[in-house]
Amino acid sequence: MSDERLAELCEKLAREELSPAEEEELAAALASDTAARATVPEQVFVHRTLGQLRPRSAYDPGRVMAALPRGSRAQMIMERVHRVPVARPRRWFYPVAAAAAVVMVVGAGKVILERGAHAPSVTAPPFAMVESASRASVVRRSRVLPAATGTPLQPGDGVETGVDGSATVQTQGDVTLALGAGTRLDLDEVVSGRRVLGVARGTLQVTAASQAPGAVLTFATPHARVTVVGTRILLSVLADRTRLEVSEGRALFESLVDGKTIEVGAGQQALAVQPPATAASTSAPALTASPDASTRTVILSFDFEDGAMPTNFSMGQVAEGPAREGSRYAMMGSLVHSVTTARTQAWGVSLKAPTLFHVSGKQVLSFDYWLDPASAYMSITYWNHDRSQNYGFFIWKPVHGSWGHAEIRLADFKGALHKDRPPQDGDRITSLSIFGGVLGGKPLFVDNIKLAE
Amino acid sequence: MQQVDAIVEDVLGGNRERYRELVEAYEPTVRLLLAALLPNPSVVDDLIDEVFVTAYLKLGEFRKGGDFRAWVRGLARHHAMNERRRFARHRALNEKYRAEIDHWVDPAVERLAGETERNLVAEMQDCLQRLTAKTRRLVEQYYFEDIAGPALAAREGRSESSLRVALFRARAAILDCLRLKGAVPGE
Repeated sequence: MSDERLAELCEKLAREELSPAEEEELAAALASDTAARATVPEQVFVHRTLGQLRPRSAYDPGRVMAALPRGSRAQMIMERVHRVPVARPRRWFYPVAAAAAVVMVVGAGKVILERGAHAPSVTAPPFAMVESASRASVVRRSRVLPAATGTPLQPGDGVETGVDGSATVQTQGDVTLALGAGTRLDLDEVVSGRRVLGVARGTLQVTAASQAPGAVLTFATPHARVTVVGTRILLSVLADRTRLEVSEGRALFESLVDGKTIEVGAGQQALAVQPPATAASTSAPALTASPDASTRTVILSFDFEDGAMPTNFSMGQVAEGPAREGSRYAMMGSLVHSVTTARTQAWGVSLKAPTLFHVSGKQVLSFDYWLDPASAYMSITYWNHDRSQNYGFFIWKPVHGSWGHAEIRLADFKGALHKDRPPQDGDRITSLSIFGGVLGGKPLFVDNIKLAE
Repeated sequence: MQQVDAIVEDVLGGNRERYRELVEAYEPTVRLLLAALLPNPSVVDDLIDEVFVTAYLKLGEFRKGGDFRAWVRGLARHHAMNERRRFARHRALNEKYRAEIDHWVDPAVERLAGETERNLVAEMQDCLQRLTAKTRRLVEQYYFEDIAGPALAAREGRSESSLRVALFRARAAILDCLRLKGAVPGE
């Protein structure tokens, strides 16, 4: 879709002036185009809030004070407040409310199922914790909540079980998810019309009825993607491998290690194993001292030597980089569309995924880079879903005009919005970006990107 | 705000005037969320009144030690959605596609409007000043002087589509500026 058309649709959406045909056009763009999904909310947000910059007299709190109930009504309210101190929680209230919420969620799921294909295709699925042992918790944004039986869950929540814990989650489509000990499950939102749930570690038993036509349920692990059709499966995720066992039905197993996809039937297994890390190949000085790379587990690794564009990259393109021995291809940055940052951070390389990896203080990000001599510095950021903010690191004295190498501990990244809110081990990371170069200068090249622990 | 619990306790105890402190402290965050969710800026001030009156009536339900900002934003979201439903009743909508658009857009807009306690309106004003003079003038005429697109395009001697794209890029530049300041979350 052209900028002009997108601009028109964004303005009309912000004013609620879209015709039904335009709504269909915009919905299709949002469902299929990642860039539109980022741009449209931004445009709507700025368009609407710009109206608040209009010169006006300051808001007068007296308006509210004058509108508050007075006299006998105020007394009645106060009497009600004092008689029924809702501010002080009553023991029965929350269990009953939670149970009611579960009933509503299950009921809503049933109604949606009965409606079948007529239900909106991308409505976020409801989740409910139907059983939980004592050592289980829900991670909601930056808070860790106890995971009691009956706790209503939301898309975006993480469910964690301890070393001897377990939990069972029920979701729309008659899908039961049984978490074993030491498991982390992320209840993601719908991505491109399909439900994607992340399994960072541990074991997950999935029992799913046949999915409605068009409904796709996918589990993403650090090493594989498993798409369920209607089946009973067991997923086991260790630091370096993911194993799929299918008891009934069938599932698609896509290995992120070798890029192959296979169909796994009842009684069959599939395995994706990350090969052991290789030592970093660089003669350039490291920016930060780090443990011997050969002893680490590799979480992400890209050398681009097959010349193909890997999935998950949302910025950059594979191209022949500045000459050096033993490497032909690298990731060339894309121009950053930003009038404010383009002067100093004009080129960017970015990876995005619903679950790119789970952060840990022991992880080290390494990469080679080639930077225009006119560049002052480089920046690296990642988006931490659980803390709802970016974390960044600046390379203030990079190598210019020749290949350099960086090794940075993720523990050294700082929060962009809340510096006092450090990342917690296990937080879900959904994007990782590297920026550098100047507008009008030579592009940034990045190669041998590796995240290891 | 450190003393929310003490203020709430005072108000519930009958010191009605202390409620003004909560209104003054949380009006900017309520304003921003309402503005971001509503198509018509002219109703924002009236809805702010409604949100805070509702909050006053429900103050007994606020849990001690809770996040008052999140609580009052929840009330604001409820009022905004009611207003949108009222607005939508007068229009022909394709419910299925509308649900899909809302699914993709609303949470992202709320995230942009709600991740910081900083005065985003003031930050946005500063970002507006950083646009080129020509672009800033376009934005001011369009948004503050209510000059409609066709009239503004004619006045500026450009096509409507070129004006639309210029405003599109100006809004993108303002958002980039807010991101650079750390006033809104990153992509």
